[in-house]
Amino acid sequence: MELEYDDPFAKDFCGSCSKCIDACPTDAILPNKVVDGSRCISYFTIELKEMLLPSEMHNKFDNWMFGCDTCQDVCPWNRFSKPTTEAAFNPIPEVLNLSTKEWESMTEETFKKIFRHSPMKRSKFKGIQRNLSFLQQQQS
Amino acid sequence: MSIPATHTLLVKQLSKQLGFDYCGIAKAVPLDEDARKLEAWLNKGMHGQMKYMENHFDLRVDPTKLVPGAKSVITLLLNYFPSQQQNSDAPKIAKYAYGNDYHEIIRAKLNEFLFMIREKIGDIQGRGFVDSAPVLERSWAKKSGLGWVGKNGNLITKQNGSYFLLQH
Repeated sequence: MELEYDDPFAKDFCGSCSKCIDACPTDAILPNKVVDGSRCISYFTIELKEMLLPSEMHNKFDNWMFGCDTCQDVCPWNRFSKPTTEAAFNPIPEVLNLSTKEWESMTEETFKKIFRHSPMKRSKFKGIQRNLSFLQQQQS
Repeated sequence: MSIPATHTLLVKQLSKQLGFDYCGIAKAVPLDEDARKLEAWLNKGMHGQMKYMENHFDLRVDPTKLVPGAKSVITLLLNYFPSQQQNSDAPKIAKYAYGNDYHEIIRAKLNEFLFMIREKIGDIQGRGFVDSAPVLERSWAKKSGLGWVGKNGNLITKQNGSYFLLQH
């Protein structure tokens, strides 16, 4: 259907800020607005299906188990974030409350039950376990 | 008011009614510059093992091929920024994954959106996309005035930052 079109957003308010580039734990953010997806923690923890994570990434995951928000968390524009009003996005209590120990001792059955409607399904229980043990190895 | 203007007003009103935070509209045209950038990015292997990103290249860069006859691309943003934080000793989870799966939430909203538009305007052709088809989301958001693409590759809105999910 034909509609009236909005004007494109012509400006760029990043300026000379490089907080996201500097903060990225795996140096995945390159110059000229190129993000190397194959170095991104979200890629490793969610999209990479191999059971072995690359050893060069040891100690670089900064305790991220599923995805990563570092480049958004440091972005000055996110000072203007407001809480969502969409009830379905309200946190699953276990996401907020479980400790590392509790995550590590979780059974597949429990995982499936708690995270039935969560995006974490994408990694599957095996993927979450892989990520947890990778984080554990880092500390030792 | 012209017919496109009336329909535009209606589309924007309905998007608000459904709880979307922003709605921008762009003309459905091929994204030539983005096509070149995407090709270079794929050629460098920056998608790693995400082979699915190579699929449907032609459809990805041209909405009129993805949806034959398409005239407009409507981009909707939904804020997911949580009001609560994880325990500081817990293994960290990206904020979009704190609650229910956005695919399910947004698919239902998009279906409702199309249903309401058809109810008011008639039998228009249209398809809703949330990750489910090869769409260059951020390019469309920028093209329809919602914000700019930052150095970290995210769409950033001047009003409320970048914790948004994008759909069409």
